[in-house]
Amino acid sequence: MAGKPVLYYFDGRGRMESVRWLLAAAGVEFEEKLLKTRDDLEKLKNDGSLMFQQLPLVEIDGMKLVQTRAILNYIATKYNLYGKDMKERAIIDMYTEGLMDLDEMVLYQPYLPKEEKEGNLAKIKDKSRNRYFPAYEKVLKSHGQDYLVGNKLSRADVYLVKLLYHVEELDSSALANFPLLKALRTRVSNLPTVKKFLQPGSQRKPFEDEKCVEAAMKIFH
Amino acid sequence: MREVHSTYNVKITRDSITEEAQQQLKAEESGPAQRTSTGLSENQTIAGMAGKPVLHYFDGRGRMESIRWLLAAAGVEFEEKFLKTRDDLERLRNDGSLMFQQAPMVEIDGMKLVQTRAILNYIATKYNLSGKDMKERAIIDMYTEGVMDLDEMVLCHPYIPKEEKEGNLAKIKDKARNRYFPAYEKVLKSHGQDYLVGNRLSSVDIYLVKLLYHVEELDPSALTNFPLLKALRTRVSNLPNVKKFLQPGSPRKPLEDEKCVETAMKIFH
Repeated sequence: MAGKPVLYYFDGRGRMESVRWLLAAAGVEFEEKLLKTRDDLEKLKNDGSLMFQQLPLVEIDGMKLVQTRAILNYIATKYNLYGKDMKERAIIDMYTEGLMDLDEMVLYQPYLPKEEKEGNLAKIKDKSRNRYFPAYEKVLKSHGQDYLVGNKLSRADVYLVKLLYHVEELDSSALANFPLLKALRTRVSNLPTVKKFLQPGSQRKPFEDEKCVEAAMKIFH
Repeated sequence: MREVHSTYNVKITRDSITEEAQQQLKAEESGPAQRTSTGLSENQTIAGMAGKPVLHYFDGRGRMESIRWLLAAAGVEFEEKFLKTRDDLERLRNDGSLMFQQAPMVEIDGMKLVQTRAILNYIATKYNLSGKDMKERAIIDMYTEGVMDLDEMVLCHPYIPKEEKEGNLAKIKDKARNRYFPAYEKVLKSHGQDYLVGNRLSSVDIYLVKLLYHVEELDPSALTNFPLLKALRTRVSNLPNVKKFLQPGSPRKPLEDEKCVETAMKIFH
């Protein structure tokens, strides 16, 4: 109840990775129950833990929360990473939702059939370089502050930095024309909690290889 | 603590918005327009400053319909600027109004907000429809996200190519009857209260009721085995603001017909 949050997912990034990043950035220790087989998933479904029979699931403060946004919103609010008032929250939400739209394409990439991968990668490259990265670079340029909203770290900064790393894995020169995004990434990466999370041995998950994708498919499909 | 049940006022008064929102409005009304640390000059607007929200979208449901429902349920009058041609969209893009070049966009309280959830969250918070505390908000969010997952299939349906429509409809029927409706029926059964969360009206009751109407349009017997959902729908539909919104002549949009879909495709594709 007053213990650590427990994350239920498989051993991969998927939709849980943003939750791991946010908890880590907030300095919150958490446990992970990593599903390995389809039976593990069925067990959770049968004991009524999953409101919509889906993961991610996070047990936190006596609640069994599903739905990534519900989980992230709660963590952000609890640990003061959601702006100082209603209006800052609205701007943070707007920024976060844009990131999630791009992230949707990125997190799926490992799981796409071989013949669809190239097309999806082209889409990611196009949208990140032409729509999303310019939008956030523009925000940083407009106020010249260290963080996206309210001159203080928020969930939007954490999410953006995660996404910058992940897009760069797929498109190595994606950040070439975005100096302020690079500076933000450096700044956030140097925060003690994030620095720790970026080191080997943390709960951060690597880019999903074929073995990982296979394991996930067995559990979920 | 303000009572919200069947005596919900039609006219929105100072008392019915949160204390936080009152502070915001005071700050805006008392002096010249403040440039906040979050405000970009392009995101500030006169329209919607202390006036009505302005909704920018095409004349159809799409992703704007939940916003119309929520504003209406909260008793908030709003204006609509309908995009009719691709030029209308390009104009909005070129003047920097659309952060990601996409609609919906809502001008509200000096902001030009895009992204449906950002818009809905702001409205829900401002008009006291997002629970009494952090934990209620989490539950409301969880319920809302489930509704939105189903709604994604529903709102896309008119726009799907002919050959894919049957498959999508089957998916909607299956998920509605076997996953989502049972989950919400179970919630209502578990506490026996009039609303989903905290024994008072919240945004998710509105979203769910909208969804129940829209699924039923596609699948007339979808609600047969869900008496508590039907009761919730009746209860919410009888609230004065919602009742008004359900009447002809309100900003509520009908199921998109072929003409409407054609227009939308011309604007967005």
